[in-house]
Amino acid sequence: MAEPTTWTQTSAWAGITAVTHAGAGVVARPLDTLVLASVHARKGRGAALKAKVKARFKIDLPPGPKRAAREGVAFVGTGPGAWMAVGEGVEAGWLDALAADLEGLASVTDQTGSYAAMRLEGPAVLDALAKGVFLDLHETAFPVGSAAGVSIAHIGAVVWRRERLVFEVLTFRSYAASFWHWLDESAAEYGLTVAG
Amino acid sequence: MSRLSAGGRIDRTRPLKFRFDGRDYRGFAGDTLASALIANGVKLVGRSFKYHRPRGVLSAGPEEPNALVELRTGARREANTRATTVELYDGLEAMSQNRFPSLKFDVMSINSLFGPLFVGGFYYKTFMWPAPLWERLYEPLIRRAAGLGRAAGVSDPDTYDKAYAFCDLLVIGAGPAGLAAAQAAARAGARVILCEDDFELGGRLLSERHEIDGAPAADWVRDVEAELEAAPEVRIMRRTQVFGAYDGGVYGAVERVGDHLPEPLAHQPRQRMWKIVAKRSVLCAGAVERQLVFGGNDTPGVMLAGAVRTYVNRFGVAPGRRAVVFTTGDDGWKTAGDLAAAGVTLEAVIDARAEVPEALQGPARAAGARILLGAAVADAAGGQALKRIDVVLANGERMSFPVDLLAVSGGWNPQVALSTHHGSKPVWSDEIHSFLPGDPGLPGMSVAGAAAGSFALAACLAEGARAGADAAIAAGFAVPAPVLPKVAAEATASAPLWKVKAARTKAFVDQQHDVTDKDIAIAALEGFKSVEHLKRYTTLGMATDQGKTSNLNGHALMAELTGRTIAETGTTMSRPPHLPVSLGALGGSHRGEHFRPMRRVASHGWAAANGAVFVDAGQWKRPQWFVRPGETDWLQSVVREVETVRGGVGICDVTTLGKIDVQGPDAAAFLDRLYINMFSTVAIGKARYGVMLREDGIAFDDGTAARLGPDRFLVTTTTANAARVMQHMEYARQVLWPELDVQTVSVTEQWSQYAVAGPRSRELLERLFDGALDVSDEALPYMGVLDFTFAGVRGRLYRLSFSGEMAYEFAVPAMYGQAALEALMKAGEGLGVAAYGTEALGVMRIEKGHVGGNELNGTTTARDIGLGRMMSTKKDFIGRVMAQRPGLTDPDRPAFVGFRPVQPGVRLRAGAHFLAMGAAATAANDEGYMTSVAYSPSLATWVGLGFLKHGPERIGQRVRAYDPLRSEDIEVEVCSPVFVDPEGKRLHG
Repeated sequence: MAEPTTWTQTSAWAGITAVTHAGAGVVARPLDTLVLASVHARKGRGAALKAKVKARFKIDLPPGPKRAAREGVAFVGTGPGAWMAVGEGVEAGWLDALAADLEGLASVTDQTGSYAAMRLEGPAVLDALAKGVFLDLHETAFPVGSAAGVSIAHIGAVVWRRERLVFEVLTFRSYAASFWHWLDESAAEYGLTVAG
Repeated sequence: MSRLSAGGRIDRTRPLKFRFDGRDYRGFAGDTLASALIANGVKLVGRSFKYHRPRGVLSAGPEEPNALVELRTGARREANTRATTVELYDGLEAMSQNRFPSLKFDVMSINSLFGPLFVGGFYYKTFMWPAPLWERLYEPLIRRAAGLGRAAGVSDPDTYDKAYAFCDLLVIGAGPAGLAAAQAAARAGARVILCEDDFELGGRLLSERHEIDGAPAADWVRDVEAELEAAPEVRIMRRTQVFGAYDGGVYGAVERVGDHLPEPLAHQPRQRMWKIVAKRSVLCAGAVERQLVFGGNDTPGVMLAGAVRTYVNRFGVAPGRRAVVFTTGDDGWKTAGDLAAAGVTLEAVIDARAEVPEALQGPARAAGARILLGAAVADAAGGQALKRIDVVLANGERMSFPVDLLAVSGGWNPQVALSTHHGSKPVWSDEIHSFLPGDPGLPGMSVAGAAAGSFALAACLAEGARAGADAAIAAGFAVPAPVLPKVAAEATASAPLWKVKAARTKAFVDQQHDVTDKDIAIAALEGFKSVEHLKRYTTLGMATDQGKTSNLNGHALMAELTGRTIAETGTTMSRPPHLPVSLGALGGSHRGEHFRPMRRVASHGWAAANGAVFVDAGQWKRPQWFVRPGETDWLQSVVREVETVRGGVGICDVTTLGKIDVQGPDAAAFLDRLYINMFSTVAIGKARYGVMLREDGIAFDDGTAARLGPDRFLVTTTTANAARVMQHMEYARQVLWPELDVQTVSVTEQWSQYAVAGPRSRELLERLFDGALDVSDEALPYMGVLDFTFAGVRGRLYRLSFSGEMAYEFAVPAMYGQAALEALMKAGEGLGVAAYGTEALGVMRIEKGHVGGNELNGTTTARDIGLGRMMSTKKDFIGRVMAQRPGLTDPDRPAFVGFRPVQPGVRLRAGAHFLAMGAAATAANDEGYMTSVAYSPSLATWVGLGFLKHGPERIGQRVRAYDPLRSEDIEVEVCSPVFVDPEGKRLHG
């Protein structure tokens, strides 16, 4: 019994994000190492879940479309009683531990493979996003920490604002090429650069 | 040359070359095509729609009915472009349209001689019979004769995009009212979007010799523009036309990003479609001048008086050398003064009113012009360029003037269109003799300035400032007290003159559609008296200009003819778009293969590199078959793939099937209510096939659900219904049974899944796992599920079969999808493994008698598809009650069976209907229909599935598969739908 070598992961953006246009009005950074899990509260266990997340991660589960984060872990509100847990630079087994911690309080599902994730930033990021996100992204309407489920060029996406000009987007993995087509066309006039 | 030696807002240091009808001309930056043509003495620019009459430039704005040209050449050629709105650029090429062989000599102008034939309703009357001639003769003839312009005929090389914007206040129009509104709101700190159709801000201020605060109005425009540019929350959108007002404060606008350039700049779209969401809006769209209806009023050289001022003051060009002004109001006298100031010989000013304030007459008198009050121009003549006008004096006498320019002013119509998009009817005003925006108008919209019927500059500025301040207050801002600039008082009185009755020649109401006063009279005579009927009978106002200069005249004439007031007669409503919008802008970047997003599986690249021919399955791209070297026909590839699976082992990507993670203490109870069969009895580590019904009892979807734990199932759906089943579950969970503790989430994208099928499938997996996982029949029996960790990856192995062979589904998280497929193919190398596509998958499911999308077609019941006995009687489930309706349980309903041709080798066709042998081909004799057919390599014949009345009882009988669409009538034998391995031995291997 020969133990085989570990299979290689393929980025959702592999072979897609090659074309760039001079300038850095928009910088696109594929996020290939995020660990994602949907967390849906069990019936009547919302308060207990909130307490558990607070105790475990020192994070207040946001009750609406917001992102709350601490030390590489974020919870993004995606619906009533529903969040996306996002681990950034977390160690192997983090998701299993999360599921075990929330046992009986929430249904936890691994979604790491489900999404293509990308950070979009740069001085023209709002202009580019305005071509796809039918949502007021003005700072008074969508301040840092806001999140939303949106449709970008008919592609479902979850978007949140990390900093004034830094956004992160999750879209189903199979749409990566079409999403990139939209971004490429939308950001080209401002200059589009892919960061490693 | 008609260019004045000085003045205007053109940049005389930047000459531009352009071509019209093949001739070279010169203009300046800041010109429109129309102003540049006039500057070059070009008067004849087009031919009319019906009579092919020579036409010139009537207006200086988007309301232009006549000066429509084909702009650009080749793939960028664009028909019906209004020369009055085309910004001149170096190298511009334009052609006149609707003429043959040339603009000056047009053979179709012979239509003019047959004028009486072409009156209102002509098409309806003349081409009525014989009916068969309509398609073959009349329509092609009319289309060739009447078309305006030609499409480019090739794909548009430019790109278009879409964008969204949000604001507290949208200001539509950047004339004096709009600028004042934007300024007031911006000073309060509100988020303002100011849209201006023109390339310059200022509106009529660019065309008039107004002073504001003692300085030229242009200075004020410049200062306000600079202030707005500097305001952080203001966005000025030039060359942007707001074309529609929609629900919820949403406005549609098109920004002409690159239309003023020979080609759009690199990476820039030609046009951009904006959806603007505004809490409030102020409509400051100004007004459009009415033409006057008299004989020959379409002669080139007859021009709206306000447009004349625009050409003189803004573009520094004189549209004529000897001019007469014909007006019905104070406004026309301004044109007289401006023409005189520009050095044009002013022959006369004719005012239809008997009395005119002396002060207005001053400049005209000073210029030595005749002043004729209570008079009217009866006829204008000159053919391709105005030469003479005949005037009827107050005393009824006639006199003529030799002129080359006649400036006409029939009063101004507020541009109310956007205020009517939600059904608000315009209201007649006896003061301005036109329609004002209705009250209440559009929610959140106010109207200011000329669009509200306030034509004096002071009123425009005051109303605009107030509307801007109100919008800012509504958005929660504190508003500083507005300081209104000082302007002189103006006279704006007018009296209506709908038609000069003394006219002896053809008098046009709608110049673009060649509707004359006589056409209106015929419509009235024949009973088409409602403005809506009038419009459709005569096509008044139905051209691309939507009757902006003509509708009211037509409606007023109808009022007169029918003895009603104009208010009683009413006016037509406007729908978006207010002005023409190109389809490219509406499509944006969704062109060609990007017309909708596409979904790719993780193995897409592998498949493409291995000969896959893709098929669209909803948004998914799925390999349909894989072409191997030497294969020239799809059937050849498909047959090879089927034979590989049936004889060895094949691999098919089944990632696109929907997958839903169902968790919670009530997960099993939930599935029991969704499926017709029981799931609470499924053992952990086992899967079961299930069918769901719609609420109405019709079969909805099928698939398997695997039990992963006491409170966790993994449900699979068909590719087509993945989203619908998810929606169905969410509805059931949230609305029908909120008491159940169950959570659902789609994991379709989480798992890359491959069917490994064929008698040697287990061998392949054994080679892959090499002892790391026991895949024996004992460890993983048919319908079993195993979790595994292998090669650093946590995956899942199901023993499921769609092909009827021993088969597995191998699932790994999507980022390992490509690696897993490569490993599976490598493990199968010595076994002759081949990838197979949806076509082979389909052939095998037909051979095996499994239902697919063609059978789950939204009209069939569980019983129809042969699964009636799966419907549990021990529990309730969605669709159970409605499935018992007599119509759905009727034993005469066609039921699921198989078919094979009686004559070997004959091809079957899906869609054929079944008839008893010898029965006539009538609907009454219809006994069902063929749903799926395939060439079965296993049986070396075509086989089919379908629904036949009493089918299962008729096995062995013969019926006819009748296909009138393909003119086929084939004898088929009814048989079991399971053509291959009816005992299911292969499944268990």
